Amino acid sequence: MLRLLQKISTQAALSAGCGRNHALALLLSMGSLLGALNARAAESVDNFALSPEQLLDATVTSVSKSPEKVLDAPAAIFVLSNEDIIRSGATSVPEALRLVPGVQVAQINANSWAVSVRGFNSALADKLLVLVDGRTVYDPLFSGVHWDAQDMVLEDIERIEVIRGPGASLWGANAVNGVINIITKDAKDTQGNLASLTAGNQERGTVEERYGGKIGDDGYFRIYGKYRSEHDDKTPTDADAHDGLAEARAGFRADLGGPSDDSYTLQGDVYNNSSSDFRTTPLLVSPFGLTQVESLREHGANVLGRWTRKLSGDSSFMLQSYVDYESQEQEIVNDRRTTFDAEAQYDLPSWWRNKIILGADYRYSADNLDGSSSFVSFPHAYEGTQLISGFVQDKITLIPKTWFLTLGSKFEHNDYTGYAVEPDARLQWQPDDRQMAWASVSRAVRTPSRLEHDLTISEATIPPSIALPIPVSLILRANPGFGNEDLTAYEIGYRRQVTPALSADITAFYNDYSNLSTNGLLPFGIGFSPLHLILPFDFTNSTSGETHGIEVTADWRVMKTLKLSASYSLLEIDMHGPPSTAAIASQQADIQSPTHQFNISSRWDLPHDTALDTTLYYVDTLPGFDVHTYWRLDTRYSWRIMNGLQFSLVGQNLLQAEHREFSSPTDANAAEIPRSVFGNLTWRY
Amino acid sequence: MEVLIRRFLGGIAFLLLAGLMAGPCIAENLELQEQEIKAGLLYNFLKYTEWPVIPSSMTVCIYGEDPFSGYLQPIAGRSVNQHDISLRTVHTVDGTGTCQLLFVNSDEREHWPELRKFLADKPVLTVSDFDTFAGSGGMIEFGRKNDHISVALNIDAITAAHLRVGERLLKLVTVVHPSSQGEGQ
Repeated sequence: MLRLLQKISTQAALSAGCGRNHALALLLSMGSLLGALNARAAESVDNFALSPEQLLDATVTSVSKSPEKVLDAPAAIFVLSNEDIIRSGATSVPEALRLVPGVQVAQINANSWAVSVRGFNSALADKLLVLVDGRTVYDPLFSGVHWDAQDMVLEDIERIEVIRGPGASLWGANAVNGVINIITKDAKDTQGNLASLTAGNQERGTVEERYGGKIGDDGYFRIYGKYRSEHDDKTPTDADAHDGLAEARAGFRADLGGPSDDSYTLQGDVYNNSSSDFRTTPLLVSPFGLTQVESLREHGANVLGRWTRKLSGDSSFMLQSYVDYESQEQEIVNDRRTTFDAEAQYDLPSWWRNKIILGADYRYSADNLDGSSSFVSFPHAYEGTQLISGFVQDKITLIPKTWFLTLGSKFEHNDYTGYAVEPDARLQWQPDDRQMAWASVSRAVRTPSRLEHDLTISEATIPPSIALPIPVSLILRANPGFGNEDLTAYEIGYRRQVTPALSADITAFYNDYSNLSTNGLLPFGIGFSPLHLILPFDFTNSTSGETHGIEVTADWRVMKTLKLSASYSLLEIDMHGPPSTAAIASQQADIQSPTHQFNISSRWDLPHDTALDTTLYYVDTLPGFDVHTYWRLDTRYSWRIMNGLQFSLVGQNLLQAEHREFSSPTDANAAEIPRSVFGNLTWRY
Repeated sequence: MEVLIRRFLGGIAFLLLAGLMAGPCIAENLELQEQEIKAGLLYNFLKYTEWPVIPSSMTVCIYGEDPFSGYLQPIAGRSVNQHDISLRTVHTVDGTGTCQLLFVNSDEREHWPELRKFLADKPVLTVSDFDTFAGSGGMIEFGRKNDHISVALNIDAITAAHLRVGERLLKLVTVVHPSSQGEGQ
């Protein structure tokens, strides 16, 4: 946790010039590519002409439900299938998210990531909700996600749905700018053994083993274990970044019920990660700051149960509950948190022109901070908070099959700011089953984190200078009065299946924010022994602003064996508030997220059971961190040696020996992300 | 600049050419929907099975709803071993006696004992994908192993119904003998 707090401080120093670099819009190349070349329909296989050998040798695709559903959803939704994830060459979830339009992904160092949707990116990115099989994984301490703790066996992920824009009416607070919904495969789809070995210049070694079997006549389960280890990166000054990590995790999932009307899921994970980073301890005497390597340990466990009952017609009922424990240990403070959650959802049968969904959620989250030192203080070590919410949504058919209006709202009560109402209205037009246009207006809030409310942290000491001959101590004060951040979002979108082989999706949004967090200076004070100036600041809700942008994606199946995909994202951020230089302040948002992002990928099946997959990414400059525009090329070559045995060779970041993606070069934990080459052997038996 | 553009276009042309050349070899790395594979296998079961008596056309029946997401529909109108194939869904036990191949939707598994009793040793090749099927008198059971479809074949039930399954199929599937509790290839 403190390494996160520290990111506030080390960047609090001075911000770089704000001159925005207008990079070239890359939309052009994609447009011409799609326009100029005439799409060939993907030839479909005649399954009755195949031999029994070919059929029993064929791989079952697991894309299943999502495509139609995506075309139907009146929201900016993008789905990464299991195949997309594996063929991107990603070794972690954040890496795979680089493909998603409107998502900002930056690797800070080997063990930490900054991931955000539609801006406000930071290691503490707080306007995003991340769910793993329905379990919320953001930490209420700072409203952000420990991405390093969200590792999993990537082969077992069914899909990742990314919803840009407020998903608040269904998912609630923190689903401000977007929702990332990670869905693992049903145990039925992971039967048999899978063993996987990965090693390379950066990947010190990853070992995965999963076994799936049956429970009785209608039940399936899987158990897995994974160990992953990564080498240290280099700092911008070419020193060892001490950021390597070792992660061990294990878990299970059981799905029972089969064809009956009731289905049950029980799943759980345990993990234990260790890594290290640099921590700067502020001192009031020379050298005024002591930077040391500190070891970081995190461990946790969770268990989730879900019961779904199919009722008559299109009606269903779902009950889900989970318990999640996580512990973050560092040199001077430990945080242990236990969360209990229970939720229910009832999809009512269609009634006249209405399709109504009702939901309720109760969550209790308690944390325990210990190891208080002179640098960090808080009013109470133990704190338990409750969150009670309900939602209602009605999809109204205005004109059958063509016009729909979805109205919904979440009603929520939390212990920090009380009641919040988050309504949402979406209009949808489907002139035929190959195209859809939609428009929406929605409201969302980001509720305060414990950090903003409770924690007082000695951030840094500015050494004495000729102008001020005494040291200045920068202190972040708790502000129990910190309130909600508010968003009203306006979106329009259009998607179209142009030909059976070509589809495209475009979304434009305008986000109007108020009460965003601001680092405001408080009246200064004097401290003694030795004499120093105290410069306190706290979080207030004094910034407002607007963001707008466009996200475009296109998929083109050039032929059965070659698929091209491209996406482009434009993001313009305009913030107004009291001047501030602290990186965490919202005013800095415009120089901490890229204006233009672009990627193009090819997925190419070659003869002799081989495939070549290549993705090129473009990420615009981040003036706030002196991060330059970069191109990133990842490629993966795979070869199915025999039935069940596959070898792949992946090269990541091939265009550069190394580059920095986030954090200013003066940040103690800034690292250069190196070129990485690794091999993987996966055996299914 | 012009050189760059030319190189870019050249690159695309190469990519397309190479892709086209790769085209005809695609069958080696097939990826299909689960129902697409199963539908294809049903056709092959018709092809490699011998019935004691064959009417002028082969009838493929589905007991319950059609679970094949449209992948089985095109089988109607095709022919196998010079016999036209027709496809129909059946919702009554009595209606299954005239089928050559009967696929039992797994949602209808509670009707299986009743169906089996009715079919007794009639020459109807029974297929399903619920996992106690072959062990409870069914003839061919679809399963899943990792990313592939697997097939278990109850040779005792097939023999009792006076059907004969070709060697080519027997080599590819798992042959089970539920009556003697033994399993073998």
